[in-house]
Amino acid sequence: MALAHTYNFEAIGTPWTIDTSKPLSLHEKQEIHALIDNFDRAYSRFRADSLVSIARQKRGSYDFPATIGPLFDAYSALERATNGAVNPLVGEALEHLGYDAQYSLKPVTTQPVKPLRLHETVTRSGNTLTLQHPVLLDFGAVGKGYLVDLVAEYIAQHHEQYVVEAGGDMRIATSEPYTVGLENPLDTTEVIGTVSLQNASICASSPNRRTWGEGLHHIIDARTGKPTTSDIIATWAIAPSALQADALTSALFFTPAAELQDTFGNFTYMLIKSDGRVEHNIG
Amino acid sequence: MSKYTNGEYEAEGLYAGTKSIIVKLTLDSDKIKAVEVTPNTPNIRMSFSLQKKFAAAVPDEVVGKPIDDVHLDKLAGSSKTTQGFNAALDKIKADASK
Repeated sequence: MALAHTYNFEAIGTPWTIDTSKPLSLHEKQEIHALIDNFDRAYSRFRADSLVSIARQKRGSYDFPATIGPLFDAYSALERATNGAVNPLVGEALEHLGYDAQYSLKPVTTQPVKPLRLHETVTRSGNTLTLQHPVLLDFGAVGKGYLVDLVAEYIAQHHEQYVVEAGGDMRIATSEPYTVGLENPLDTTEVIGTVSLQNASICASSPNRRTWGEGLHHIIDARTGKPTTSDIIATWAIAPSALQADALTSALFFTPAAELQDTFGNFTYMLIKSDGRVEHNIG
Repeated sequence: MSKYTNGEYEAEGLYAGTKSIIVKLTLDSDKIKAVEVTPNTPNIRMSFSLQKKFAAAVPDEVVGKPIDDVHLDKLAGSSKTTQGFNAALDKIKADASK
């Protein structure tokens, strides 16, 4: 049973839906928008005034909001768990492939830009990141899931039940199970199954939803700077937090689920390969 | 003078190996005024095509079902993730076809 009240809006280039059992107050809505805007202002490589856009210009130390702690730690764990395939230093590689702030979608070079390694280039002390080189950070692999968590944690202060969804990624806290359809990445008018979730987050990732040319998409193998040529066309992950689920959807393109469990603990996942075959550990 | 700061505290704990609970405590003058324990175990159930196909643990092709034929509260997928991206792609396609 879906919760009675729904608040829809757009932010960070994606539609959001927040379901609650009692309506959100105007104050709560304003706080949610402020929270999202502050996050975007720190972490978006699509805006010139963001901290990451400033930090790319010069090596040095940059003071981030307190949210940098969980975000940076998630990327450090991802870098280790995927042997360097997932790394937030792919910003420049994405730009060179055409996935830039202007969405030019035209590769500027056929030579891939190989990202530096995170653990050799950036260190965190409290909320301060120190960059050994000027690098463009891209928090796309985990940022949206984490932002869903932050909005959900704010709402949880005053609401027992809620569902926070940003463009198909969501965190669910309800007393009755929510039926969540798994969108068919090859035909978005279809679902390929449903999961029933009550107290969990689910995120999805699929390169074919953001493809702008032959072999050009946003899931970059940071070891080469090129889009991954993995035969996986879509991943889903279910975990307590949306940050974990979002991180796992990216990692599953590069690393078998069994290996990822060493770092991330038990989680539920599903993936589809290009021949239509499915791998999952649901139920 | 209280030994502990008054206020609400929250912690996650594990029991039975993998099951998670959230414990919320309200402290007032070093006394526990309220305790709330919430199970945090994801309740996951899978249904229809996948469940049927994978009961036999044989990898098979996915079978889609029209969204309108299924009752859904939510849709997990990535087609809505980047409206800005899709708008830009549409514009480029339109420019290219002029």
